[in-house]
Order: sequence, then C-alpha cells, then structure tokens
Amino acid sequence: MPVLPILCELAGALLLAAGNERGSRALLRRPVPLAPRRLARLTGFALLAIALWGLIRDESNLLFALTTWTLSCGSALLAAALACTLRDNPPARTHTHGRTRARQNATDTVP
Amino acid sequence: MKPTFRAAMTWLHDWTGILTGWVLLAIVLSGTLSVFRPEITAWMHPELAGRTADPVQASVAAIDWLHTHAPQSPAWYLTAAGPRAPFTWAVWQQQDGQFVQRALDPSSGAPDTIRDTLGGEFFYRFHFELQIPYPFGRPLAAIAALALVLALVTGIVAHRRFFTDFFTFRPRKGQRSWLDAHNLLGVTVLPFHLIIAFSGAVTLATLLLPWGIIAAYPGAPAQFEDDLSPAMSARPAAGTPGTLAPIEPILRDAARHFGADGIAQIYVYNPADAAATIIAIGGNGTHVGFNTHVLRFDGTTGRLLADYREHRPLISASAALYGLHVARFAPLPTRWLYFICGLLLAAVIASGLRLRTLRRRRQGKSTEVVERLNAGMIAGTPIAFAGYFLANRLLPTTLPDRAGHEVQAVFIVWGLMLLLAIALPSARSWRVLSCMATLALASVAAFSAPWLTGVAQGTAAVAILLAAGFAYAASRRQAPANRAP
Repeated sequence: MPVLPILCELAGALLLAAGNERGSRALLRRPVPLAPRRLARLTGFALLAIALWGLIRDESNLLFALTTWTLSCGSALLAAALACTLRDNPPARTHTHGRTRARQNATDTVP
Repeated sequence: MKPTFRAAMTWLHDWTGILTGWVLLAIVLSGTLSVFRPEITAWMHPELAGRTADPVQASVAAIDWLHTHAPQSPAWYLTAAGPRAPFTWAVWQQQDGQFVQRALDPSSGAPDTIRDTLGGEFFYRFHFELQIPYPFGRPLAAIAALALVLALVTGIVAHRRFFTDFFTFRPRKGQRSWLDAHNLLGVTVLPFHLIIAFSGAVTLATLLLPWGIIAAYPGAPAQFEDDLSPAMSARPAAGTPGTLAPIEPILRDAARHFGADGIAQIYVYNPADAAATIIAIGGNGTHVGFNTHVLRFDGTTGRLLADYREHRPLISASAALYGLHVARFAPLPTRWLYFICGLLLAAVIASGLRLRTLRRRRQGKSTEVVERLNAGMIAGTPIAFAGYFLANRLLPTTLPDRAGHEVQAVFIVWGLMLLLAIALPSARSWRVLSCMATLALASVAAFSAPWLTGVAQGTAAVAILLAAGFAYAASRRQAPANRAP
C-alpha cells in the first residue's frame, strides 16, 4: 500500500481546501486573505505532484500511476470537503445577511 | 428556445438525467460490483474458500474434464484461475445448443462439487446487457453510456461556480444540500466519471455507429472481427475427427510467452476436430490495454501458429480505453478506488434524481409518483442485488438450474420493492426501503461468516458500511410536512 503518496494527497487536498475561499473559511472558521490562500493552494498542488511522483516510483508504470493518482486525488478531495463540512460552523452562517443569502442562492445552478 | 447556452445545457442535463437516470443507476451499480467480479464469484462458492490454484494446472484439469463431458461443443471458453479466483470459469455449449457457464474445480476440473451460480458474472453481464434478450440490451446500455457522457458534459457547463464551490457541502438545508452533494460528488471524482462514461460509450460504439462497418464489410461482419483481432479467429473445422495434443506443454509455452502478464483466457475451438485451434490470451499484469497479446496454437500438434501483439495505434488506443473501463490491470488499491468512485457515481445519479423531484415540489408540481419510483429504484436496486447474494446462500445447493433461480431472485425482489414503493406514500416508502436495505446488507455481512478470507472480510465490510449508510438515511427520513424547506 503506497502510504506516503496517500498521505501526500490527503495533505495536498486539505491545503487546496485551505486555498479555497469557502474551504478556508470552513477549516479555519474565519476569512483568510488571498495571499496565504494562494500559498496554500500552490503547496497543495506541489504535494499532489509529489504524490504522483511517489506513485510512479511505486508502480513503475506511468499509466498505472496516473490512473491511481487520478482516482485517489478525487477521494482525497472528497475527504477534504468532508473535513470542511465537519469544521464548518453553522451558527456563524445563520447570521448571513438575508440579501447576501438571496444573492448566493440566485447565482447557484438551480434556482 | 432557451435564453442562454447555460440554460439550454441545464435543460439538457435535467432531461438526460430524467430519461436515463434509473437505467444508469442500475448499470453503474452493477458495473461497480463487476470491479470485484472474480471475488464475488469466489464469495458465492464457499466450497472453494481458502483454496489456491495454479492457472496452468487448473486449466489442464478443466480441459480434461470438458474433453470427456463436452466434446461436442464447438468451442470451450475458459477464464484461467489466478490469485483472485481459485477456479477456472468455463463456458461451453450443450448438445441442445444452450450455453453453460460454470466454475470448475481447480484440482479435478469438474463442476460437480461446486454450487451452480453465476457469481460476479451476473453483474458483469447485467452491466451491459441489462438481462434483456439479444439484441436489445446492449444498444440500450450503449445509449445510456452516451447519455451519461452528455449528462456529464452538460453538467459541467451548467455548474456555475465550479471551483468556488469545490469544497462546499451545506448539510440540513433541503434542496440546497442535495444540490451541494450532487455537485461535490460529481466534481471531485469528475475524471473518473468522464473516463468511465466515455470508455463505456466507446466500448459499445459499434452498436451506436454500425454504418462504417456495414459500408466497409458489406455482408461479412465476421471478416471485420477477424481484421479487428487477427489472432483470435479459429481455423474452419476440417470435418474429420481429431485429438487434442497434450495441453499442459502448450499452456506452459503460453505462460512463458506472456511472462509477468500471465494467462488470462484460453479458447479451444473445434476441440474434437482435426483443425482444432487453441487461443491463449495474455493478462493485464503490466499494461492497461486489454487483450493485446494473443497466441494461437494448432490444437492437434501443439505448434505455435501465431504470436500476435497489437501495435495498430487506433486499436491500441481502443484497447487502452477498454482496459481503463474494465480495470483488469488494476492492483488491489486501485481496484478499491474504482469501486469507491463507482459508488460515488451512483450517488451522483441518485442525488440528481432526488434533486429533480425536490425542485418540482418546490415549484408546486406533483412529484408523488416519481418520488415513489425513485425510492423503488434508488433503495430497491441495492436490496435486489443484496437479494442475489442472499439467494446464493439460501437456495438448496442441489436445486436444478440453481444459477437461473438466483438471477430470478434479483428480479423478484426488485419487482416487490418497486410495488412496495408504489403502494406506500413516498416519505414512508423511503424509510421502509432504507430499513429493508439495511437488513438485507447486514444479512449479507452475516452470511460472510466466519470472515476468514480476504473476500469474506471485504464483502462484509462493504455490506456493513452500506447498511450503516442506509440506516442513517432511514433515521434521517422525516414526513414532508416537517422537512426543512
């Protein structure tokens, strides 16, 4: 079991979540400025790249490694999204101004 | 006319999902289970638990048995035993023309000591034939695969804030939560969804677009097959009796040629004829492409007639896409990832179906019938598939046509679940069917006892996790009046 690439992917996915506006607000429970978010995002991408390199080394086959990496990245991102959901602070969001909430809803896919 | 491109794509996404959602759900769930086809077959043959088999020895035993008991069959199709499956899977034709599929004992080559079941083969066949008589099942599956590609592409266009909402899931908010779940599960595993849908459509492309073949091979579709897989074609029968050469040296030779890939399949054409042909197909141990290394032997002399490796670029690309779809190359962790991603795709479809009814309800339109059918399909399908596992353990092992009865059990359970869902109010049918799914899946886990093998442990773990999911769903169900808007 390639433990190191898995850990790299999980860490990378969490950093990508921290680099995302909503993700960072959920994880850190406060708004995060753009610069640290950009740094987190870049580090996240770097960790995902390291995970790919680790998988290529483990599998000794580029296609096998790419397939595994793609699938496991999806699962890691989902785990990060779950972490964001669990960390999200519902009471803070109930105070969202009604007009802001309405604007958010209006710009979502399904009205 | 829709006002914007995005609105048009949203409309198309909705209607594609509505028209094909239920079929796609069944296709995706059965395909997800097919990732572990040999393991499911092994689970359904508890007589073979803990056994190991040498692929060559087991194939030799199987061919010896077939030589005695099915010499009249025009061909024997064998899937070799291996680390994932301690048995040879054989398909042959009886004198009445009926095809028989059985697992053969790795030592004796006989099926007598093993229960008659299709095992994982049922899910594999159902995935692209839908248990509908030839030729209707496969084209329907092909259309569904194409619809999935269309739904994914239009879904990407329709999803406004692709990256902004990447890590967003807002629970306990009714329709908003279902939309978040639908988007999140769709977006995070999008490469898998796209590849599996596209490769599925490509796999069945000749059914969707047969006109090129008809134009290039007028009246001779067999010639197309020969050109597509030159080494797979058998010599025409000579019409004079012949005897098969000793099979073990042939298979050892084939195993040496295949090296780390190993032998995956063995076809013996015209086994009792002087022009008998033996085809050996290499496995996917070291490459993604499927069936790209084939050996053809003269069945009566054992002489190697052809050592064919596929190098044509387009066919290699097609074999690679098919290989990515069926994941035979995948080592165990990757196979688990395929399985998880398959479940997530099923969840995307199910959440999309649910979202549609919630939206219509919010618009003040009646959704009761669709909601009941949704419950019957979304919760009923796992119950029906669990029923297949349970029938395997509950039906007497000596029952004639036992494999057929197991398959019938799936459709009887499925039909009953749909009837139950239609008979009950939708909120109640969700709760009742979720409870029944929990019970059925927990029973599958219990029937995996004594959980000594990896297959039994894996089956029990998946069944328990899914049962827990349905138990949670049942506990969360509320009457529509109490539900959050």
